Amino acid sequence: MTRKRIWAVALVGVTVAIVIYAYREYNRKAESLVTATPGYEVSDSLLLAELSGNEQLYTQKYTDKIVLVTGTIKSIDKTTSQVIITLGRSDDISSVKCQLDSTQVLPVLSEGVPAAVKGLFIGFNRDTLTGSDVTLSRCVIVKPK
Amino acid sequence: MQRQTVMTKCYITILFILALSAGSTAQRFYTKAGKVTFFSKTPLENIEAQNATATAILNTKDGQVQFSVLIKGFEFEKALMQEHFNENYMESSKYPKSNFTGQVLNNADINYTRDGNYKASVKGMLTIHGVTKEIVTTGNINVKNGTPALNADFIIALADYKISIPSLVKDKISSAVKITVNCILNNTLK
Repeated sequence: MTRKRIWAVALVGVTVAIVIYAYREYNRKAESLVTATPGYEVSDSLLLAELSGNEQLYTQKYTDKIVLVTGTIKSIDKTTSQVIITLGRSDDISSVKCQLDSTQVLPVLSEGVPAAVKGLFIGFNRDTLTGSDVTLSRCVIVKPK
Repeated sequence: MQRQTVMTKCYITILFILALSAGSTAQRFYTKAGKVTFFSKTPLENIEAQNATATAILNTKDGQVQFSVLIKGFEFEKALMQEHFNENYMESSKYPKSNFTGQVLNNADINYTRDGNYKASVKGMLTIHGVTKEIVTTGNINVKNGTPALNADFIIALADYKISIPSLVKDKISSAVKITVNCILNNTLK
């Protein structure tokens, strides 16, 4: 009887653990990248040059990796609920688009100042009219050391 | 006689310059931070995802319009849904982008130099998950201080684009989803 009870309790325990795990996994939110270590550190101009030169190779290299990109803030777009900042040269239509993590407190940002942005590389879009863009998501601004 | 010839040449030159100027007032407007949302409604669950990094271009002269959006740019409230969306439904590694190329059919009815809200009918080719289909939809073009903003809602059937939903979750995801586009085209191309 005692053995049966032990098995029953163990089974209930495992079931409860599975249910809790499934519930937490189903409702899991994307992790913040604030403390994440970037896999790559690269300037905006080099990143754009790499992808423009060999899109397949560098898309494979960077996709789903955390990348720290340094450059100058070209524009700040707050027209939607999400803030998008672009890094790049003012005379170059191509840019690195950074979709900022909306759960983080936004630092004071200005156009024309240098910035380091850490984010998840999600793709490269080549366009002959509007220029080629790299897009990073869940971005956080990295404070200079 | 010589004076007449010089005057005639001057008039022709002025007319030529005016003709060029008239052509150059038409502009191409674009944004790289356009918002595209998709919404799935079922009795069990509503699912919404937003992408705020769409590229959109509008040529106000002929009404040509283009959109391009990276599939991985759609952000969900739940990470697991985002992973399934990319890995299983949209296969974003294989088909990283979705785009639309089309035409504002009633472009002549829209006065891009006058503030206002103009109904627009758009027809074009929409590519999702590697499948291209013609769509026709209505929306509006809102002009404010010379800047056009494109707004549209339309419904797509997932099966039309060969997006299959596993039977395990078919009650949680609608077979037809609503796509909403809101793009303020605050940049111009020379």
